[in-house]
Amino acid sequence: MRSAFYRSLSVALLLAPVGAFAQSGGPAEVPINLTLVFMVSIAMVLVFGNMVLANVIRQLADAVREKNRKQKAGVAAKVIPALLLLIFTFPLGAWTQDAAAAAPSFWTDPAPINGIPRVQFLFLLGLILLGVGVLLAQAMVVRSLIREMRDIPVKMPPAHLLFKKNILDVFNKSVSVEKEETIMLDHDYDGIRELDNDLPPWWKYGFILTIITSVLYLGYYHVWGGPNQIDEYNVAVEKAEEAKAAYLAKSGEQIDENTVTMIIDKGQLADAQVLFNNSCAACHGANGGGTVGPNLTDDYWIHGGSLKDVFKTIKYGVKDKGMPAWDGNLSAKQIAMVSSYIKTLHGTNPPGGKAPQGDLFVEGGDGALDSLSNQTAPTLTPTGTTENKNNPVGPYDNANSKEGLGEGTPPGKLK
Amino acid sequence: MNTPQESSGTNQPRSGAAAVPLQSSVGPMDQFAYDNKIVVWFAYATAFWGIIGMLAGLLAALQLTFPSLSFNAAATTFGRVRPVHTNAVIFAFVGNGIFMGVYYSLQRLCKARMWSDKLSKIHFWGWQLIIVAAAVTLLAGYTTGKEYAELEWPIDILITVIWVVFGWNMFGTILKRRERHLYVAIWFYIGTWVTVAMLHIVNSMELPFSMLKSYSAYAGMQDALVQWWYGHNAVAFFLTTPYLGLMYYFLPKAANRPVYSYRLSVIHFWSLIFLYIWAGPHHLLYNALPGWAQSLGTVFSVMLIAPSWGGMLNGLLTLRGAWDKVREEPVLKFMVVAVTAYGMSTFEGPMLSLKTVNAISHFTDWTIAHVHVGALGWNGFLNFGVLYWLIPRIFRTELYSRKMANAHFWIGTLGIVFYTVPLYIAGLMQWSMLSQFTPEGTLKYQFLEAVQAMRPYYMLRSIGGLLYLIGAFLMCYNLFKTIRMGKALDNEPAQALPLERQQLVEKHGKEHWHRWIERRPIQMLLWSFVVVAIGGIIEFVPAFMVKENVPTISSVKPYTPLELEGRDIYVREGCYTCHSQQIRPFRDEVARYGEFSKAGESIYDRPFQWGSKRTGPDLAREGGKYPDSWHFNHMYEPTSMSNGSIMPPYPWLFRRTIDAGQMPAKIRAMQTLGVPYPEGYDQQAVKDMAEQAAGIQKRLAADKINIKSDKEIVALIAYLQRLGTDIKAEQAAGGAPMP
Repeated sequence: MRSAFYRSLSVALLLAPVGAFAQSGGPAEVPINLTLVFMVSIAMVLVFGNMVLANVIRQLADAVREKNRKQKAGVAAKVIPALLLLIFTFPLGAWTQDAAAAAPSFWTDPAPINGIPRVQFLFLLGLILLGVGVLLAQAMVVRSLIREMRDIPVKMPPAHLLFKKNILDVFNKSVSVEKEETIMLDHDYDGIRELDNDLPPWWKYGFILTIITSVLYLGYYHVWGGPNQIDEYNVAVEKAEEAKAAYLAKSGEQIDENTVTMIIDKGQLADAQVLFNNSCAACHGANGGGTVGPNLTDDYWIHGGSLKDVFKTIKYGVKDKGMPAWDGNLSAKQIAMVSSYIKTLHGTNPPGGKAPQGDLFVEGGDGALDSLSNQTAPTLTPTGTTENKNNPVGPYDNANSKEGLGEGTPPGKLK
Repeated sequence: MNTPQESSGTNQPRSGAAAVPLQSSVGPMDQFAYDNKIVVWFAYATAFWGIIGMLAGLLAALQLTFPSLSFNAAATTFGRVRPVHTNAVIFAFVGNGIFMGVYYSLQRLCKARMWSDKLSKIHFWGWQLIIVAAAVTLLAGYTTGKEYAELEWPIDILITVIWVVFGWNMFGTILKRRERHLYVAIWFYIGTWVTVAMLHIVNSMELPFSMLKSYSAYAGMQDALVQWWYGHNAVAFFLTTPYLGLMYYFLPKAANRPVYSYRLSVIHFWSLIFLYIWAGPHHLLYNALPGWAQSLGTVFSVMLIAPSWGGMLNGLLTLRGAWDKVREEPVLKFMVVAVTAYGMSTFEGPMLSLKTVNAISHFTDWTIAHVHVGALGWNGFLNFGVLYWLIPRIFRTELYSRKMANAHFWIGTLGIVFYTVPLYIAGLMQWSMLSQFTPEGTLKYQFLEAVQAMRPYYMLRSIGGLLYLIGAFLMCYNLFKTIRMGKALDNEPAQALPLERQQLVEKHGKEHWHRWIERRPIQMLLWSFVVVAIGGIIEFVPAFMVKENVPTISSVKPYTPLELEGRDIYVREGCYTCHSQQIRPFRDEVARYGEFSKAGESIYDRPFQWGSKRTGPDLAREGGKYPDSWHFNHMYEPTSMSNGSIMPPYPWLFRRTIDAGQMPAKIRAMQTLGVPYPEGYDQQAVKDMAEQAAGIQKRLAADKINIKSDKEIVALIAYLQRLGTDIKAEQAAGGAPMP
C-alpha cells in the first residue's frame, strides 16, 4: 500500500503545478482534486509520525530494558516491552505488505466520492483512521515507557492495562469485576445494587461529538445558507436535463410524430409488447380489444389510425377522454415501438373486443380520411403540446388540465 | 443465581437493606404482601394478545403476496388488518407487558403493595376493554386515519381514563413506599407515564360528529407534525422507556449482578427523555414540512445515539462476569438479544434520520424492517425473558422445559433474521428500481414492476414472521405446563420498616446530586414533564403561529360534500397503509407522480393522509390521471386494470349506500374547525352531493357502466379525481408556480 500511496502522492505532486496553471488562466485539462491531496497529505504525515514514534519506542524500550536489567526486574518487565515493540512497529511492515494485495481493478471503480474513485477514497479514509489509532496507541506506550524510566509510580501500569486487564474494561474505563466492591454504591433496591463506574469515554466524547455536529448542521443549512430541498431538486433536474440533452445529441436524430416510421424488427416489437402490457393493457386490454379505452384492433379510430396519429395520441394524450400523455414516461423511441406494435394488432379481432368507436380508417387510403381524423382530435392544440413539452413534471400534469377536466369538475365544487 | 430453588431465597420476606442496622432501635417492621395476582393476569394478557397481534401481522404479511387472502370482505382487507396488527402489538402485547413488569417490579422496588387492589383491577379490565373495543372498531372501519393513534374518540377518552387510573395507582404506591430513594426503573416508569399522557391527549384532539367518528383538530402539515411527534414518541415512551425500566429491574435480577453504572443511568435517562421528544419530524423528511423542522428532526435524532446506547451499555455491561450464566439461562439469552436489538435499532434510527439515507428508506420496506428489529427483538424478546423469569417464581416451581425455552430462543432469533433481511433487500430494491432513469430521461421501471420484484421477499418475510410466531406458541405451551406444575403465590409476604421510621443515612462527604430528586417523586414527575414538554412546544408554536410555514395557495378549496364523503371512505378503508399522498422533491417522484407536494395543498385535510409507506403508488396527484371508469373497474377488481397488482378488491363499495344523513353534521364539524364553507352550507350539502354524484354516474354510463349514484364507490371516485388537482387549476389560470 505504500506504493499506492506514493502513486497517489506522485500524481498529486505532478498535478499541483497544473492546478497552479489553471488558476493563472492556463488550460485546466487535468483538474486537481483538493480532497485527494488533502487526504494523501494527512496519511503521509500520519505514516511519518508512526515511523518516528516506532523508533522512539524502540529506543526507549532498549533503555528501559537496560535499566530493568540493572535493577534485576522480573521476566514481565523484559517481555512486555518487547511485545509492545512488536505490536507497535508491526504496522510499518503491514503497510508494505498490503500494497501487493491491492489489485489494479480496485482502482477503476466508476462511482467516485469527491472525485476520488470509491475504493481509493475508502481505503485512504481507513488508512488515516488506522494511522490515528496507531499513533494514539504509540503515544500511550511512549508515555508509559517514559514513566517507567523515571520511576514514576503509575496508577494503572500500561502493561497491566493491556495484558492483565479485560480489553473492554480498558475501552470503557471500567473498574474490573474483581475490584468492583471498591465502587459499589450503598444502593439496594430489592437486592439490586449499583456500581459507580465512570461514563465510558468513547460514549461521552461521542455524545459531545454528535452535539457539535448538530450545531454545525443547523448552522450550515439555516444560518450559512446551505441548500434547501427545493434547491437540491432543481440542481438534480438541471443535471439530468443536461445529461439527457448530451445523450440525445450523441444518439442522433430524434423521432417525433412527423418522422416516425413503422418498426418491423421482431425483437423490438417483443419489447414493445412488454411496454404495452405495462402501460396500455390496463385500459385497452392485454390483447388490445379495449376495456375502459377503445378497441385498437378494429378499423375505427377516434383520433386517427395512421402510425403518426397513434404516435401523437400516445405522446400527448387526450386529456378529456382520459388518455394520459406518455411523453414523460416513455421515450420517443418507446412510443414509436408501442405505436408500431399497436398497428400490428390490426385485424386480430380478439374475443370480447369493444364495439368500434370513431371513424373508419383505411391504411394507405386517401388523405381525406387522415385529415378528417385529425379534425376529430381538437384537443391536440399547439399550445397544449408545447406547454406540455416545456413542463418538466409528470405526464399527467398537462397545463390544459383545467380545461380538460371541465366536464369532470364536480358541479357542487365551491368557489 | 437463577434457579427457582435459589430464587425462593430472594422471595423470602426481606427487609430494606438500608434499614437493617437500625431495626432494633426503631421498633417492629411493617408486615405486608405483594400482589402477584394482578401480575399474573397481565402476564396472561401479554401472552394472549401477543399471539393475536402476531397472527394479525402474519395475515397482513401474507396478503401482500396472496391478495386473495383478503377474502373479499371489508374487515379482512390489509387496510384494516394492518392497524389491528400494529395496535394489538403495541398496545396489547407490549402494553400488557409493561403493566406486567411494572406491577411486579414497582411493588418490590417500593417495598409496598400496590396502592389499591381495586384500581389494579379497574386498570386491568379497562385496558382489556380498550383492546377489544379497538379491535372491533378498527375491523369495522372506525379509524381516525392517524398511524398508531387510529382509535376513535370514545376509545381515546377511555384510554385517558384508564391511563389516569394506572398513574393514580402507581403514584399511590410510590407515595406510600418503604424505600427512601426511587430506583432508575421507577424514573423511567414516571417519565413514561407523564409523557404518554401528554402525547395521547395532544394528538387525540378531535371534533366528534357522530357517536364513533370525528375529524382531527389539526389539518395538513400541522396534523402531520403533531401526529409524528406522537408517533415517534409512542415508539420512545411506550416501546422504549418503560422497557428500559423493565430491563433495569429484570436484567440485574436475572443475572444477579450489580448495575454497571449509576452515573450512566442518570445521564442517559435525562438526556434520552429530553432529546427523544424533538426527533418526530424525521418521519417527514423531504415532505412538505418547513426545512427548519426537518433539520431539528435530523439533529436531535443524531444526538440520540449516545443516550440510547447508554441504556444498552448499562444493560450489557451489567452482565460483565455473568456471561457464563448467559450460556445456560434462556431468560438471559432473550435479554441479551433484546438489548442488542435495542442498540442496533437505536443506531439505525439516527442513520435513517440523515436526509440522504432517509431519501432511500422512506416509503419503502426498509422502515418496516427497522421497526421490526425493535418490535421483535427488543420488545418481544424482553417480554419473553420477563415471562420466563416471572411465571416460575410466582408459581413457586421450575420452568417446565428449559430445552423448549432454548428452542424458542433460537426459532425466534431465526425468525427475526428471516423477517428483517428480506425487507431490507426489498426496501433497497424498490428505491433502486423506482429511482432509475433511462439515458433518454424517462423512468426505467413502472411501479408495478417493482411490486412484482418485491413479492418473493414478502413471502420470505412471512416465513420469518411464522417462525417467530411458532416460538411464541412454544412459550405459551411451556408456561402453561409450568403453571400446571406449580401453585400461585397470590399474596407474597414481605416486611420492611416504614419510611418515617427509617433514618436517612447521610453519607459523609459527597452524595451524588441526583439523590435529591430520587427522594422526591412529585418533583421527579414535574421535572420529567418540563423536560419532555420543551421539544414539542418549540416545534409546534412556530408551525402553528408563523404563517410562512404554510404558504397559501389561493386555488386550494375545501372538499365538496361528495369528495369529503369519499375521503372518509378512503380513511375508513385504510388506504394510507399502502398509499402515500406526498410527492417528495425528487426527480423520479416528480416524473412518476407529478409536481412535488406543497404544505398549502393539504390545509383542508383532516386528518392528513401523507402516509408512510408505498406498497402502492403515491396518490397525491391521482386526480384526472385516469377516467372514472378506470377507477370503477380498478376498485372492483384491481388486476383487471393493473396486471400484477397486489391490491385487494373492494366489492362492498359497490353495494353500500352513502349515508347522506350524516353529511350536515360533517359539514358543521368542519366549519367549527375553521373550514370556510359558507354559512348554512350544511343544508345545501346533501343536494350538492347528489348533483355531483349524478355527474359521475353519467360519465360512467357513457362507458357503459351502470351504477346508482348513491353508492360509496361514486364518492370515492369523486375524491380520487379531486386529489392534487387544485394546484393545476392555479397554474392553468396563470398563477405563479409555488416557490
